[in-house]
Amino acid sequence: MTADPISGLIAATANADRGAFRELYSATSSKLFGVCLRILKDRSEAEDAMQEVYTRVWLNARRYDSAKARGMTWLIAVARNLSIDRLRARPAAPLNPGKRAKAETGPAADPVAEVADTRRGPEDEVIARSEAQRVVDCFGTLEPERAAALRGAYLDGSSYEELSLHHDVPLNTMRSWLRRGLQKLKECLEA
Amino acid sequence: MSDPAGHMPDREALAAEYVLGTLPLAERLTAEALIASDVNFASLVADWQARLAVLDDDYKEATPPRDMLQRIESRLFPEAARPKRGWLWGAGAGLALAVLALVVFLPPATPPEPAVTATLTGEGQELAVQASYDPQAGALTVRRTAGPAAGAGQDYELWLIPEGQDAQSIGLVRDGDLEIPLDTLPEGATLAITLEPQGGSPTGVATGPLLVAAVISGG
Repeated sequence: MTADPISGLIAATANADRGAFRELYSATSSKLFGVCLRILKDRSEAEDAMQEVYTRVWLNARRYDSAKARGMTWLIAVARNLSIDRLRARPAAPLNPGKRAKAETGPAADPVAEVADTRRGPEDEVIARSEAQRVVDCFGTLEPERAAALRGAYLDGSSYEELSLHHDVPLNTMRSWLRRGLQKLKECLEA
Repeated sequence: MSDPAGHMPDREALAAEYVLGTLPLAERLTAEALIASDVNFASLVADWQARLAVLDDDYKEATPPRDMLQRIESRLFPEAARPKRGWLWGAGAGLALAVLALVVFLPPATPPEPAVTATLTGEGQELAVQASYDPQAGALTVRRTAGPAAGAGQDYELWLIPEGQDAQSIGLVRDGDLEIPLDTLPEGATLAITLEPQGGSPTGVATGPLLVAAVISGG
């Protein structure tokens, strides 16, 4: 693994170093705000979520283990989990497949291609490239629709309910689809 | 949920689906409680996070409002000029649950150790439970305020989860007020209710679904 400056900033934050916390904020806030916005699809809610994200980062930084995850991966997981929890805690809005599920949370038309063509963000420089490429390749072995559903679920925080409406399959079918997709992904990565 | 075609043990499927993000809230909360209490489960989650993290590249950057850092800092360090171990110590536990929690503190200016009132709620749950802690009396009073009583042969079991520690059973919520002697209710602690067999979990560890929860926090 190459140097991971974000990881160092999280470690310093764990020691209550406010300067490091600020640096961490400036290095990562745009990415994390992008995560919150994409999942919550509401600017003011995404702003609230951001405050919680960095509050949680400050409070939980000592739980971060640099041996287990890149700094940015950990931070994005914090932002995703918090945003998805917020999304799920919203009062149930009537799902309208014509509007919400399709227009907002539907996966892109050709997600496999998008995964393969993913633009390299700056954090990629610190990801072991071959490992990332392997994951991309393994996504490529999935059936396109299944890869699309997995990707839509992960990036948008779509629920099984939304996905089943969007793909027009029963909820349990969607669930076993995705489970099989995940299983296949794992087998491919372990092969 | 059994899935003949999935071939993944339920535990692993829960970890994978938690990371994928598709689970309904109640199952997400179960997963989050497991992450905090079970290192094996936490490591399954970390493995799945590593597998799916390549998708993170697709999140586009977006510039947050200019005063965001200030807002965060004033929340974290309310008295920057007079450093003090404020509420943030210990407020970290299960902040995941904070979105569900309605926690009311008396205004910060009121006399020392204000009473704390929290309402335990959960998505899709009719059940609501109010918990009031009186630090002077050292007593936590808990009462079901909405939703049905537990079914026949079942009980609502109340758990106290201090930050970073295991859940402790502190009582069964039946009809009427439940008063529990408690020396302290630290900020950051989580109060949660699971559905258990009558008399409470036989193992001392929550076995049933998490129904409602609240994180004690303030500001």
